[in-house]
Amino acid sequence: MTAMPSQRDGGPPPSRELDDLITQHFDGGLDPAGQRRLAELLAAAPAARATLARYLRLEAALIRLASAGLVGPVAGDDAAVIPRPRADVGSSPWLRPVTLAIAGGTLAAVVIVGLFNARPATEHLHGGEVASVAERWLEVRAADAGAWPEGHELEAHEPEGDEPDTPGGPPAWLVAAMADEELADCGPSLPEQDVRNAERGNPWRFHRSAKWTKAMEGFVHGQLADCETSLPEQDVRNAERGNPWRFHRSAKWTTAMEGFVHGQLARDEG
Amino acid sequence: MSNPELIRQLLRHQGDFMAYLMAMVRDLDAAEEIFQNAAVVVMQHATGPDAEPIRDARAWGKEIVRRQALQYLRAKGRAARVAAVEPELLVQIDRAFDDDATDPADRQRELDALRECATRLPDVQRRMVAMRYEGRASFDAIGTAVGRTAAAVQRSLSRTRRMLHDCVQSKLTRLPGAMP
Repeated sequence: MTAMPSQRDGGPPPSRELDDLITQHFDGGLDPAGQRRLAELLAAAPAARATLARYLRLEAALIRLASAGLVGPVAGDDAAVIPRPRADVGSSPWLRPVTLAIAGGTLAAVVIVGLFNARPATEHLHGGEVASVAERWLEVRAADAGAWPEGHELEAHEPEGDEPDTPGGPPAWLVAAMADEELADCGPSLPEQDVRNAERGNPWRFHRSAKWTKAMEGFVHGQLADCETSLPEQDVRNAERGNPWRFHRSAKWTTAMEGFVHGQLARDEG
Repeated sequence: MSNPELIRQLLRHQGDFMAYLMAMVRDLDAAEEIFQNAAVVVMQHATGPDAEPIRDARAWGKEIVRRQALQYLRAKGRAARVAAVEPELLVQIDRAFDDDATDPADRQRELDALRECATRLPDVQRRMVAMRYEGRASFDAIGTAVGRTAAAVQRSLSRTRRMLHDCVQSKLTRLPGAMP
């Protein structure tokens, strides 16, 4: 392992106190006196605020990498998990699908939450409405895909076998809801624990939100409230992984796959 | 969709808003929940009949995020064990965020540099960062996993953030056309 650089080669002169206070603050390690001292340093100099802005960007980048699972691999796993750097540092092909997945997941959540927000609290989505939500997701996602700069469109991605994720595709929870629409008449219900598992496919993990939990309850339990049969093991596993192949029977899913996996949707609808 | 561009802008600045929220609440789960609430507000505005174009979506979005954060801290701060931040520090965090005009290309370079720097962290530090950011683990849980006290983990993560910052800056200054 190469040693980490111990000092900057340029930029503003380093201030150990300022850097220490900022980093401690992010980890919740600053007491009120320390926070006031940090505020004092920041108020005194634009350069200090620029340093804080760099740490904010670093935090944003860390969150992005972590959301993509790209922080964790230990030594020896690097080559398999972390792509090699490209000469063109302004464009990271490995981050495009990740970014799109994050954006897609969030945007979809925004759409769904927005939809729920406009509905009476006690009303649940019915089967046909799941399709409407999916269509709306496709519509918004397509519009969003069309806004990416030239060269940043979703790259072709051919799922293989039991591949768990489809970058840029509908998030797992929506896929699961679409699948459950197909199963709505036959009775299988998704146990609460499985609902939480399915949500893990969402890169922004909306399962922690009470609002999101309510939305999921509306999706999954509302329309299947009378069903007692548990989902077969294979289906549960697929739902957990957001496996697209489970839903090959769905014309809507086929449309989504064609659009998102092969990168045609934005062009077709644009 | 009356104003999809507004939602696109929100997504483009999502990382910024999350970092800003982290500086305010220092808890990733809380930041995420606040961002969701802000996203709902933006969605309502964007889909409303009276949606109007926003001149500076980043500033507008940040204000919504800030208000949601303050509301969250008032309502849940104590219950969620999110410690309050001194008001004067919040003001300075706001100023730093507002004054930051780093363009997307430079942000991308920072991200690429960070990815490389992260691979160069000692294994234990990298593991702690992963547990903290990917696994949302508490300092206690991380400490148990790596055989350190929670306080030691907290200090180590602070040092690691500093190392990553310095590493990124060092890399960027070596690039042609580097940021000043």
